[in-house]
Amino acid sequence: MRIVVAFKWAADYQEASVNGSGEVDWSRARPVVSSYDAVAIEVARQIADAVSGEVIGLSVIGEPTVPSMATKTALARGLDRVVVVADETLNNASTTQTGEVLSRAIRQIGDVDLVLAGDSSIDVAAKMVSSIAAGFLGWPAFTDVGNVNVTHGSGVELTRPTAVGSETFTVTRPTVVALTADAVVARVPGMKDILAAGKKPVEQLSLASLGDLESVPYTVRGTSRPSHGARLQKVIDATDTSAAVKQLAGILRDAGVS
Amino acid sequence: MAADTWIIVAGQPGVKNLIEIARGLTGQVRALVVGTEDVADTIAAAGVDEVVWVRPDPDIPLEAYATTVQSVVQDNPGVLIGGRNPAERVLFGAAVATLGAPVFTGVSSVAADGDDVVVKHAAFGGITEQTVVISGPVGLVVDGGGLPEPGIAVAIEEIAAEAMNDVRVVGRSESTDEHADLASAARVIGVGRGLKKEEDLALIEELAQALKAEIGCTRPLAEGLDWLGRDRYIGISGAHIAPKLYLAVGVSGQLQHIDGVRGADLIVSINSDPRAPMTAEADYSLIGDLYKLVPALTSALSGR
Ligand SMILES: Cc1cc2nc3c(=O)[nH]c(=O)nc-3n(C[C@H](O)[C@H](O)[C@H](O)COP(=O)(O)OP(=O)(O)OC[C@H]3O[C@@H](n4cnc5c(N)ncnc54)[C@H](O)[C@@H]3O)c2cc1C
Repeated sequence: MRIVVAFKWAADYQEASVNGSGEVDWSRARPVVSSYDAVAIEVARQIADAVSGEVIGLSVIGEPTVPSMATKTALARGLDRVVVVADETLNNASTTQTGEVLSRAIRQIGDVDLVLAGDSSIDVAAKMVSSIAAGFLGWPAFTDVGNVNVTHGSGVELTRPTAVGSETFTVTRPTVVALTADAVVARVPGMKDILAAGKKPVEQLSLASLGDLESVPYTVRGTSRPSHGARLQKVIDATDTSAAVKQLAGILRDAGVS
Repeated sequence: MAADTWIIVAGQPGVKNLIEIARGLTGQVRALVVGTEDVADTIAAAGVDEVVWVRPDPDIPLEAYATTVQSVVQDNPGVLIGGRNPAERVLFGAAVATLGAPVFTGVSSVAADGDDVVVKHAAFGGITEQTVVISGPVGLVVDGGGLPEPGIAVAIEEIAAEAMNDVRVVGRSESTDEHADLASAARVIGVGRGLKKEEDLALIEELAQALKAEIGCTRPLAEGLDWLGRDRYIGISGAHIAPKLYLAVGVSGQLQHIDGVRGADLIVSINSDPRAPMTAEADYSLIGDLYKLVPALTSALSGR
């Protein structure tokens, strides 16, 4: 069974800073393999170990060269090898472009039975890439998936929530699955894993080899700082509990919410 | 672009906000419904111009109708609007891929500008707002916002449902918890890890009763601690709410949580740490122990 795990080398938006006109500065934010993607790698490893399969990491990077930290960190978490599409023109690639590039790379890798991914990236956080990649592939996708088990051969059983509970499915064909951050507990790589990671294969696919992209580009006309961030920020001293709650009760009453 | 709009509906009809955004654009509003006849009926009366209905086989997941969705929107590209639930995102993603349309989440406004579409949306988890211009198809992910107001129904055009092979439903479970409807609640109490034990939720329930509020929570309480259902956690990966009052109790106020409460009119925080990020995200903050403040507030509100 051949499993591809799509992972993103990105920084958490909470570490970015934003200036008065809404421009985001990522320079001091440190890229990582996010906790979501670490979970996807762990699930893939556990499945592959159970059926003696192969786990291939796949990442799209908007830089001309692949940062070795990116591949090493991901490999140390249990991937067998990594395939990277690194190209400067993919810097700030749209969610749809990323999904399209992933789908092309998955086709190029070939014979893929299962694609796993984290449910969200930690920088853009649109939660759409896996569904879009599946759309380009013409494969079914499932998101918010809490667990995946191999049933027979390369078929999987998986569960995802509904408004009232959950549904469990069997899928006996290639599919894309986006996992929640608590699907399993990801291992913490040890010294041995980190050393071994340096020796595992890293393959770079050129963007050109994947053919022309169909995704429609867009332009950013401007940015602004979110106005709803402007809260009153008033602090009520609560050393005197009853005075504090009385004051708050009054505020709630005046605002018409109690 | 004077193109038409497709609303992709998957399994549930709570798409009020999607219809509202679509109505703000020029062109026809079409809904593509993958769901039961009830869902199709509700959407047909929700103020759209046209309903195309795919009746799914109950033994096949909604997600397996992705190719049917693709063939419908392909013949009629325009603006695509989808919701945030799991099956909604999958069918919407398939539609988006077919048209190669860029997608935007956290949309606050959309307008036609000549042949272009201008979208204002919260980017990077809401730390900034971007105005983007697209001359071609575009996809918008919008919070459902509950059931649309019923009006005069339009005709429903049922089309042949062709699901992908080799995908089956093998089990369904309904959680025994009461289903939370945070999205339409006027008052929401959000509880965080400041609460020490599951039993202490009783304190919050009493306050919720006094305030006639729904109870929501931060992610750790729903995923991990499992004290509350997953439908109760608020934030970028959970519910997005827009109540009159959001009262955060023992919530640190990380951006991922705050992303879900930006639509609140009034935000109040109860937190023992004055440096908690929540203080900057709130209109009023009571700095103190929730174990003292919550029961006292319950009494004050009940007029005792
Ligand atoms: C990719 C990603 C996505 C995420 N998505 C979400 C999401 O959608 N929603 C979400 O909520 N989180 C999300 N998180 C998690 C988020 O980053 C925070 O970890 C989480 O919101 C913190 O929850 P908390 O405020 O309950 O806990 P903590 O951060 O532990 O805060 C507890 C607070 O309680 C206060 N406190 C403690 N004791 C008392 C007391 N006796 N009285 C009063 N106050 C007290 C403390 O001062 C503290 O501020 C996400 C994280 C990641 C990485």
